[in-house]
Parts: sequence; structure tokens; C-alpha cells
Amino acid sequence: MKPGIRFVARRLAALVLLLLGITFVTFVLTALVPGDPARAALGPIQGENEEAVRAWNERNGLDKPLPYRYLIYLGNLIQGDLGNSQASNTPVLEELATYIPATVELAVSSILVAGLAGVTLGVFAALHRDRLADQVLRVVSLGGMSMPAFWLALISLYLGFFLIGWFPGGGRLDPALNPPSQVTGLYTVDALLSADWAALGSALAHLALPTLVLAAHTVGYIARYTRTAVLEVIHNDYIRAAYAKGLHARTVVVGYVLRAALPSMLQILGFAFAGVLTGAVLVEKIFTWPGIGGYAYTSAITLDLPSIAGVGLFIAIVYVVVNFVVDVLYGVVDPRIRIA
Amino acid sequence: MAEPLLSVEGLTVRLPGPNGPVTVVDGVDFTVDAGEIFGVAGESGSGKTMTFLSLLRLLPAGATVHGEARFSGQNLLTAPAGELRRIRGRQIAMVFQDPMTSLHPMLSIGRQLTDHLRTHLGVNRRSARARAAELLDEVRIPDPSGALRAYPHQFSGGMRQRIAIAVALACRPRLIVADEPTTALDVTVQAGVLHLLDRLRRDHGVAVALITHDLGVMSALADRVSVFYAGRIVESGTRADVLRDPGHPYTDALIGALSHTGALRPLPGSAPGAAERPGGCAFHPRCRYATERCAADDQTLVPISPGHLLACAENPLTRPRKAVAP
Repeated sequence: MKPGIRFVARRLAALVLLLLGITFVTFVLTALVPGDPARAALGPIQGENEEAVRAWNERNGLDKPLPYRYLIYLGNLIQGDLGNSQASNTPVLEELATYIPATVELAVSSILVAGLAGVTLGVFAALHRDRLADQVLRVVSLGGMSMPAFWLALISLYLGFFLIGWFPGGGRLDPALNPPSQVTGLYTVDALLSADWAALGSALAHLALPTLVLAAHTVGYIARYTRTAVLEVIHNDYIRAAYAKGLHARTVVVGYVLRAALPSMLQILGFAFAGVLTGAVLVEKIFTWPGIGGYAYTSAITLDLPSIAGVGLFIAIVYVVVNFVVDVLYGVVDPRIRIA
Repeated sequence: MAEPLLSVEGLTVRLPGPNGPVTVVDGVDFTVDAGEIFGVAGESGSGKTMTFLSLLRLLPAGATVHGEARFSGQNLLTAPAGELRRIRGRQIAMVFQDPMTSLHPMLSIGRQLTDHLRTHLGVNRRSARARAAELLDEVRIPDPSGALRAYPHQFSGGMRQRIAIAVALACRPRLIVADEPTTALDVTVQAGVLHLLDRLRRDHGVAVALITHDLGVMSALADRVSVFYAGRIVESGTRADVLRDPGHPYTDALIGALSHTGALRPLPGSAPGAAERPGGCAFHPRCRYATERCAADDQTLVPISPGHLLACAENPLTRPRKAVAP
């Protein structure tokens, strides 16, 4: 197990350096964005008042030189202080903490749906290569990938909510219900933990449409990748050897074929997850899902620098952490990497 | 004589090719008796491997198989899939050529040794692992219980082939098909693997179909030998018949190419691919005894002495040796 620990430690050290670099880039980029945060915050009338603008800049530290501001930012960051939102004056970390669980809940449920469906369809397509089922799946997955998510979101809301009325129109929970007592911030999990069945049902119903919309977009990628990964391993001797041992076809496909394809699928699964965690801005907006996407949108149009930097940092952390987890999983999945 | 363990009649295998189906095995007959080592000789592409893959129905998609293959009362080619699955690994096991690719690189040796044990024999995890350790010990893998937790890349080629043989042996099959089991191995470890196969045959009475192009291997182990050329058997008989007193010029040429004494006699040309099989005797373009008859007539196996079958029109070698020596 020792080499395993060293492996993880080395990756973790690289991760810290990477995050440091990312804070620098996000900081510089947000500082370079054209536009004057003071005028954006003070509004059109006060924004014309030079005195008020200078006072606002002084209050928010914007009169200091850029490198100095970066050091202050880093120093605060280490203490977990991401600054206060210039719009609401509440700590950015606090705001992120209220929005992130909603996004995580949506992302996890859609990656579960997309992963299950995508892997199943991909394996099926590979096993029926170039036959009708494969062709149909190719067209369908291409369709899913090329359909804009916001359009799919609008259509599904129109059909599912307005026309048929089976699904709620947006948000995370029926407004008549109280959110379940917070443990994880994921309503479904919290409702389960507190045995609040009404909240659970409502949370699931609210999750359904946005989950499907996000998944529809992702499932095509996962299916295609899985198909390729399976086709790469399926002609190996060890697969034929597994059949020759008299194992059930299901055991061979899941235990041998999929197992061998897993390392090359981890990457796409990781990126798909990072994608639904960070790229759901429009879908969240359309379903009025109180997640990080909506928050990013609002902070961007109000030029709320600390919030923008906070969202940027969140996105960076998501990608870095997902990459880290994928790297570690490679080692778990493939014994040859574990030793190296 | 008792009923043979495996009897194959008129086996024909066609694989899909770019210009329509290609016949890679063309009407092959042979039998394997319980407990014998049956040698299958021939160059690459002569249909040896396809013959045995077709018996377990492990051919690539699109292949068609005709003929009959009876294995202890069951017809392998028409048995329902579920029945065939219970024969695979349980009654007939395979050892593949390259031990670097025939073991799953990401699954532990223990898993690969026990999953079919559990499927076929319904034993629980603990006793399957105990049995797996015994098997590793039997094929002389040091520290069997440690090896169960290890992965294929931690072993050398020779050790991996021993492990692959242990996998084949796990359910005590009655026939092991060993497809070029030593070809991918260093010469120094080949002998060990062959000795192992021979010992298993003696200790457990398991029959071995030993597929190889190496007649040296054949002469060391096989009880009977069939020689394949371009999808057909051109000669078969006991080891002594075929290797010491070959009837077919092709067999003779193979032995000559191997001969450690005197000058090496390379066989001119190369074996025809399945698609460009010449008419008549497929070997005639390369045969130094060939006559017009050889190009015209298809040859069938006929006995030249009890148990020694030959498919050759001219039969140049069964005359006294001195007469044909150039």
C-alpha cells in the first residue's frame, strides 16, 4: 500500500501548485476585464461622483497596486476568506455555500443518469457493431450531442410542465414545503436522512426535468466513448479466453470487457461530471435552479469581482479535483499503474 | 478401441473476407482419444487454430462452420449455447499462444483462477481460493497464496503460461487445447511448460490437443500427429509414423527444415493463404516431387499402413529412401 500512498501524495502536491497558479490567472483575468466595478456598483448617478468612486475603491482595496492586491487576496484565501460580494456585501464563501449544494445535486443526478444510460448504450452498440442497433444509437447520440441544452430545457419545460403538467415548473422544491433539515444541502439526501417523504418526492420531481436535459446532452458523449473503448479491448485474447472458460456472457461483458475499458472511460466520465457541475448556467437559469450557474450569471452582469473570482475558483477546483480523482482512480483500476 | 473423446468429421470453416467468404478449414476429419497428446502441426495460417476455435464456437462473428464434432456424446457444433458454455472450461479448456495477452491485465490471478471454478462447480469463494492455490502449486508457481493476490504483469512469460495452464486445468477438463503454448516463450522455459503438460496428462489423464508448428515439440510429446496444410490434413498417424517415416513431401520438408544434423533445407515459397489455395494438391507448387496429376486431382486421406493416413498422389517417400534421394 505504501507506493499507493506515495502516488496519492505526489498528485496532491501537484494539485496545490496547480491551484496556486489558477488563483493567479483568475485574479489577473478578473482585474483585466474592462469595466469599472465601482461605477457598476454605485449605479449611474453616484457613479458620476468622482469622490464617491474613489471612496468606494478605497473601501474595497481597489486603489492598491495589482501585485499587492493579489497578495492580500492570497492571504485572505488561505484563511478561507474569498472577500465580500460587492453587490450584497455578504461573504462570497457563504454565498457559494448556499448555491453549490443545489448544483452538486443536479450534477450528481444527471451524471448518474447519463453514465448509466451512456455506458449501457455504448456497450450495446459495440457488441452490435455496424448492425441496425448500432446505427440507430449513433444517430440518436449525435442528436443528443448537437441539440443545444437551453433549447431542450425550454421544450421539456413546455411539454412536461405546461402541456402535460406532470412536472413542476422550476426551483428545487414545492414552495409550500419546508426544505428538509440541512445536513448535506442536497435536498434528496437530506429528506432521506430526516425521513421527510413529502420533501423527497417533491425534490425528486423538481430534479427530474433538469436532470434529463443535462443528461441528454452528456449521454451521447459517454455512449460514443464507451463504444470506442469497448471495441478497443473486445478483440483481445483475454476476452476470448474468458469465453473459453465457460463464463456467462454477462460476466464476460461486465467483469472482463467493461473492466478492461474502464481506464479509458474514466477520463470522459470525469470530464462529463465536471461539465455538468460547471456548465449548467442556461439550464439552471431556465429551471430557476438556485445553483452556481445562476450565481455566476448574476455576478458577471453586475461586475461583482469577488463573486466572479469565487465562481472562477470553484470551477477551477472542480476541474482540478475531478482530474485528481480520475488520476487516483486510474491507479485503483489498473494495477500496472499502481506499481509504476 | 473405446469411443474417442473427440471426433471431428468434415469440419469446414469459412470466415468472411473482403471478397466473400474464405474457406480456412476444408473438410477436416480427426479424433482425439482420452488421455492422449494429439499433435497438430502446420505453418501459420494452415487452419490449425481455426479448427479448434470452431469446436468451442469462439470464432469471430460472421464465421460459418459445417461438419460434425462429437465430444463424449454431445455435438459441439449444434449444442444450445447454454450447454456449450458448460462444456467450455469445464470439459474442454484452452491455453492460448501468448501468455502476455491471454490473461486479463487488470484482474488478479486469484480472480482469474476462481471465477470459472465457481461458475462451473458452484463452490464458494473460500474453497475456490484454496483450490486455486493448489493449482498454482501444481504448476510450480512459488508462493501460491501470494500469487493469488498478484496481477499478471508481476510474472514472467513462462510463469504466466504456467498460470494460464492452471486456469485451463482448474475444472479438471478432459481435453486441453494448447495453441502454440511455447511459441511466445524463451527456449529455456519452453521445456518446463512442455514437461508440465506431459506430467498433467500422466497424472490426471487429461487429453491434450497440442497445436504447434514446432516439430521438435511434437516429437517430444505427441502420441499421434496430424499435419495441416492450407486448411486440410495432409498426413496423420502415430508420432513414429509421421515424424520418423513421413509419407507426405510437406511433412518431410518440415522435418528437413528442422533437422539439426546436416544442411538446413529451407522449404521454397510460402504457404498459400486461404483465398489463393491452388487446385489439386495445395502443396504441389512447392513440392519437388510434383507431377501433372498433383495439380489436377484433389487428394484425399488414404491409409498407407494401419493408422497412418496420407493425402498424396505420387507417394514418393514410401518407396525405398535411396531411390528418391536427389
